[in-house]
Amino acid sequence: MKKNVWNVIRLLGMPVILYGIFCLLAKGFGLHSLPVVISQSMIPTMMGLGLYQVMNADLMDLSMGARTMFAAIIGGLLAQNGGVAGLIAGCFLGGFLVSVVMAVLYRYLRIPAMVISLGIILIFEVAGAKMVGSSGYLRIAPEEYFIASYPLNVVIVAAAAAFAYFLNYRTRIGTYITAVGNDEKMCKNVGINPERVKFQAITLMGIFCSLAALLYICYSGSITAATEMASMSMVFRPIMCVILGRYMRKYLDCMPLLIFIGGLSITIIFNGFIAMGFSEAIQDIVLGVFLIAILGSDAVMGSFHSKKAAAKA
Amino acid sequence: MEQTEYMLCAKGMTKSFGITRALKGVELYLKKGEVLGLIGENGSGKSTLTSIIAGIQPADSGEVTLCGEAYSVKNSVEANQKGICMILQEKATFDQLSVAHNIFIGNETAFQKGGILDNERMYQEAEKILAELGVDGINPRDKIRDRSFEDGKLVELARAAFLKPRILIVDETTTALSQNGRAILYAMMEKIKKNGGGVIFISHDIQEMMEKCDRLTVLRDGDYVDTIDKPEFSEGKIKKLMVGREIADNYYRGDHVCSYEKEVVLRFEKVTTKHLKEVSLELHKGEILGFGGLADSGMHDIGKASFGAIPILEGQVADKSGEPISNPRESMQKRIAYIGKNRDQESLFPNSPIRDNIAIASYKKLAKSTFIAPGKETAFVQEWAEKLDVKMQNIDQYVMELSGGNKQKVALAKWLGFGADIFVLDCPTRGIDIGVKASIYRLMEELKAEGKSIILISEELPEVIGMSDRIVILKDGSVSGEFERSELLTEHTLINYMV
Repeated sequence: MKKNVWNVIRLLGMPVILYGIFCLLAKGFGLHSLPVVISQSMIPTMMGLGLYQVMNADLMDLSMGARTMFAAIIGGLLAQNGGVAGLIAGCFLGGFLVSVVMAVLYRYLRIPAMVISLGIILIFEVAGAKMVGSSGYLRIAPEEYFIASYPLNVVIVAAAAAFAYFLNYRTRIGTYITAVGNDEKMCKNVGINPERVKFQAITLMGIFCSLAALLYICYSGSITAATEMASMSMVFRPIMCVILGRYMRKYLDCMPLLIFIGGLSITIIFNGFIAMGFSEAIQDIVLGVFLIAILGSDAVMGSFHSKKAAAKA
Repeated sequence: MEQTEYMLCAKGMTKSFGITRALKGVELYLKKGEVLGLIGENGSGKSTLTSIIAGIQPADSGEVTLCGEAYSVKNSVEANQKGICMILQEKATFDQLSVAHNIFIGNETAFQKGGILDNERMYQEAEKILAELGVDGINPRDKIRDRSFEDGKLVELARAAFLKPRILIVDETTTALSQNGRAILYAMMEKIKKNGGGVIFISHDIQEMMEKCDRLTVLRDGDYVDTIDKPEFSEGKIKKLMVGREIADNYYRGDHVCSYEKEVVLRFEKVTTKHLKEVSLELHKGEILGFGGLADSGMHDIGKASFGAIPILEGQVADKSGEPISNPRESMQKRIAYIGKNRDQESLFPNSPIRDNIAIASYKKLAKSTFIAPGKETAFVQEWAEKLDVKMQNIDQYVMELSGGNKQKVALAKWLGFGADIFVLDCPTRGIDIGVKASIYRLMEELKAEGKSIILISEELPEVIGMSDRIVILKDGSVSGEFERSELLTEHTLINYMV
């Protein structure tokens, strides 16, 4: 227990140190900007929680951005007449609908998930664009923005993370998703149906997709339909959150918390560079270097420690 | 004999994989309160037959009855529910899950309340099961990825113990277990037997089969050969039934002379790796240098270090000219070949055809500038597959479809075709039947006669004693003893240096 608390402190140290560095380097970056940074990390964290469900089952899905946008569009449309209730219902309806479509296609067509996800992107981006009409974007009423306001957005993500924790660590389906990601053949030998488990993983991802859609449309107050696979760019930050989370798992086996730490760290870097006036290209380069440095340092430190241990022996 | 005295009867079992007929009308009868040994060469159909009984795969035809009633299951869960449980030869645990989750996988309902798993109760129950089995030192909370292969096998035993099977099938599991692990398995088998259940036991160790089994059913090339009772057991008879011809009792080297040339072809100079501590030794031309020790003695690191497959922290492994070897590419340039203990992961590409597996090390030789001549490649692969007598449909058959012995022949063919001068063989006869074993020993003798050098790492002391010119025993990463080939050398002597 003590060890776990110490590990949480150590892991939270990464975003804290990063934040501290940018407070020193960037003008306008300080404690007052913390709620903004935290708020901005909520959408990638929520999407990361969803992506983790499928990545844990050894699937790769690039369509989460398209699905989130489609759900947000449905939510936005229903909000026109239904207000907040319509917005929430629409996001959940859209998120589930697309996720179930993807799960069904995956299960019955037996095509790799990545291929299906590319098809889903193309179809649902166009569908979303048709729905919003010729203007290409959709607004929601300002009184609906509160859902993504600080600290309610943090509460929503915390609730989703708690749900993800229970799902992954305290339910049978969570155990099976991990098992399928480990070895499908072995799963069959212990009576687990891998195809059904993957179907469930993709469907469950819909919950996080819906919540991400809700945060997304409420955060910006409007949504612009994406075309030509532009929604794919939304997936890369959440994927990095999951990769960082997986890397940190050896210190603490609690993926939802680790995904949040990953999401927060990445957002701090992006915002820090914006505050320093760097271009988007430079931001991307630095983020890539950060990811490689974190993962690479582990290998270097591992080799250093084994050499040190051998020398001691 | 009346069939009603049998708790499990399988008759006329057939199964084909493509054009390969794995089972051709095989029968098996298991009595209550007995251990029935199922024995045969690699590819004889033992695992196929038992996996059908365990619900892992369906039979093409045949009839199975359990306690007089028709038995038909769609999957292993149904088989478990009917009291049949199988411990597989391959790894069957999930790395990312805890020990407890691995024990109860597929049977979590007992620990579920309102859809939520009671992990704490799971850990407690797992601890209880492990303790009852006599397994020490495995924390149910640990992830399997942090435990050894043997611990994983013990977790599989605990999984089976939890299911309380009437019939337990043990498929070639003992090779993965230490003496202590084996004792746990044997105790579990004995308990099932005492409770009126039955055990189907598969092993390539004839001595072990003779000791533990009450009857033996012999299969050969997918055919039922015979079933013999304990009083009829004799090594010679079993071998003859298995192979279909007489096999000499001693299939190791006939000579007792330590013979090799003076020239040193590989030199370990104070080599330190993760598991080795300042090991220095020499391998000579035409020598078979055997290594023995406990599983964690560091002997497997000797093989990997010889091939440059693990980092050397201090010291060096050098070839005859004194040049250090630091990676597998350099090793191959120096004509060193390596066959790892875990052949599916270290020596073969199971999801590729035999063609690619044999040719892969020799593309330089087969290629004309950047292009590989298909005709030349086919002839090359065909030649080496035939020389090693690989039992296959054709060279385009996938390696994963081959039996353990034939997979090993493919791995050997790859390096023989490559033209290696030094062969590093880590447990080359692990999980392999006596027929293939004998042929591997003959091949080693031929290689020695040609002046090739061999490093033989083995967990079977009779093999090390029977084949090596010199034997090095490792203990805790250091050399604890070195012996020359001698008629007087016994396992007992070596064990004293191992523990």
